[in-house]
Amino acid sequence: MPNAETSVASHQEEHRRSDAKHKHLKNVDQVERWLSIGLGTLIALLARRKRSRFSQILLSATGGGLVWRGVVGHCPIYQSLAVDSQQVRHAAGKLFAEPEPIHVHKTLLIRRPLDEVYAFCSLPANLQLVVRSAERVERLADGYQRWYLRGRGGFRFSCDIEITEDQENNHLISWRSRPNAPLNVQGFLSCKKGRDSKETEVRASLSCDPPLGVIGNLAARSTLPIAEQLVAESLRRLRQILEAKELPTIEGQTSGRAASKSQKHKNRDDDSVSRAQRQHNAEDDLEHELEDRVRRRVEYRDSDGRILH
Amino acid sequence: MKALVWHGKRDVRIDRVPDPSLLNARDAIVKVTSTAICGSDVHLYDGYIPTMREGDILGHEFMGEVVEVGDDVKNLAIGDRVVVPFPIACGGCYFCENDLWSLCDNSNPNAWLAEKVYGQAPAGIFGYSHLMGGYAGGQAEYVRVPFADTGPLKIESDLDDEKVLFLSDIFPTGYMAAENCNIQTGDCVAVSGCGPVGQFAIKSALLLGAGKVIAIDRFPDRLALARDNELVETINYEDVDLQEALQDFTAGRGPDSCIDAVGLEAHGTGPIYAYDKVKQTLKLQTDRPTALRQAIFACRKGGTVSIPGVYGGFVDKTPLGAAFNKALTLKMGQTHVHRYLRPLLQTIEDGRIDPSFVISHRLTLDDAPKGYEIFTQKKDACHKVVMRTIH
Repeated sequence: MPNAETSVASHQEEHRRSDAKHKHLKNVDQVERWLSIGLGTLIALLARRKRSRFSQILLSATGGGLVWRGVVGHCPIYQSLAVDSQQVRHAAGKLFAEPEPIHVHKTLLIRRPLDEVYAFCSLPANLQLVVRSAERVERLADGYQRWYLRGRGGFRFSCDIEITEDQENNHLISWRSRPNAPLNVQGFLSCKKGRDSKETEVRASLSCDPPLGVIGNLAARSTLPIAEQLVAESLRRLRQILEAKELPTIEGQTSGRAASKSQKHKNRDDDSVSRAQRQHNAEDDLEHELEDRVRRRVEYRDSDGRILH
Repeated sequence: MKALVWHGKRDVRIDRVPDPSLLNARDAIVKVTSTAICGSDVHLYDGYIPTMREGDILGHEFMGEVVEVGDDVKNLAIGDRVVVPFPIACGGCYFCENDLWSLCDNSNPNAWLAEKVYGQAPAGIFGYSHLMGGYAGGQAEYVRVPFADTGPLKIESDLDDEKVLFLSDIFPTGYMAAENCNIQTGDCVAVSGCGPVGQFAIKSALLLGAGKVIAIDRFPDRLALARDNELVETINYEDVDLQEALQDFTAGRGPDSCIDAVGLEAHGTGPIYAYDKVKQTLKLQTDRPTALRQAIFACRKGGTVSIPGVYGGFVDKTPLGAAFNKALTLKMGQTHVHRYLRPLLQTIEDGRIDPSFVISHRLTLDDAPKGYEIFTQKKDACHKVVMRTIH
């Protein structure tokens, strides 16, 4: 015979299961339940005014169904569509709730030794190449770095950051924006040995405290995929520079689109000017500027500021 | 310069476009002497590969003469004659170091786009959509070759272009397809599709020791081209029941390996083919996997299905249950051309194979649109179109 303690435990377990089952069945939000009851009652009352027997039955059944849905909090249609309006409201509520910090983390393996990767990353001039939207970096008198960035649609802005940690032993670089900056951003980049001594695992993290309360929170969360893309793209560029020694590009390559935009076709065979002369021809300035720009972007330096090849 | 430009579905033209220029220090510019139309170009021509843009220059099988090199290209000099592999590879990433060149991590400038479609980005490819990097192709008088210090193979002998051009793609592709089958001496290998890649897969299977190769197609001229060796049997799938014929040839066991050298535009017969055509037309599936289904169904238990034919997106009704329960090995992928360049050049130099046997049409670059038309529609017993450029 079971003792009293076992009996209570068993009863509690049964109660818990029943609660869980009941909770599992509910998929209609509380506000929507009241609306459902109200609307159902209205439709059911409307049914009494109908002359057609068929309409009365149809409207009564619809109204009754809505009332039942509101009372029990379960909707079979939602269930078949795997929808839970409680979760939808919860997710929507988060957007309008008090701001919470946003975090983005990405990790990538780079086929270069740990010390080389860390040495590269510890120089801001090198990291400027890695962040596609960075146009230049200035070192300020108070120790901060001012990053000039260009966002989508050519929108330009700057951000002052300070390096809060540069731990050579742990291969960790942390940074944050000025304490009173309109946008509080911080992040770190850490390197550790990969699967073998030729490989380094690089982890990049970006965190942001959305400003301007609810509106800022909404804006920050809606732009989260862009931030994730920015971090992923930066890590990919870091890998390209370190492994391939250049950034792959098709910017400025020839195509049929270029042909339709410009009537000026430079043709090797038709050109009467020699190749050496042509290289100094003013008409080619634009082309050379592009080449130089791309090459400049992939030059990187060691700790003494020398360009590495 | 003149180049073959993609203007839309079944609309390619020779246009005058600006000459290419060096964009990076590891680039070279190659003056194209010979270029070919690949079966996979037909997928672009027919509009089955997404992310093409009007104005893109096509072509990934080409060779020529180096006319300009970037500062970091030390292994090539102006005047060198080179064959250029179709995948673009950096030589410094994990995949290049492990001989998996077509999976290079760093050569695809649109890696972010490919990651959304495939999870991870494969290497860039010349003239093969923006998903594969958006690089201008080699069906042109000149072409820019990125990572030129890693890819191009210098041809130092006086072998004619026609003998070495196919090292850029179809010969290594056919060879890798056969190599993926792990052929043991005396094995029976079935090859679906007797286009150029299928022809090279047949030759390669024999080079690797196959005892019997069964070539499958519906065009008598292609089957005849395959049947130049006593170890090759042929099946015209429009005349017989393919599955029954394959079982008959192998005494009921099934081929040890099956190669799908057809890919996403497979032809077929019966209601299943009609179903695939409708679904593809309605964009409910991107690829028609008829040959792949047949290969999985026919292959012997524990055998290998090797897929050199190109697939781009999603397929329907693939008998994975058959593949699983027969414990098949499926091997596939874009060819790691760099891996095969030197060994296969050696087989040509040794006279063990003359790759020019697949060429049926010799045109000039100006005739490229006509070449696409006859190759796509398989007119005039067209197997392979090679185009010379006249400088």
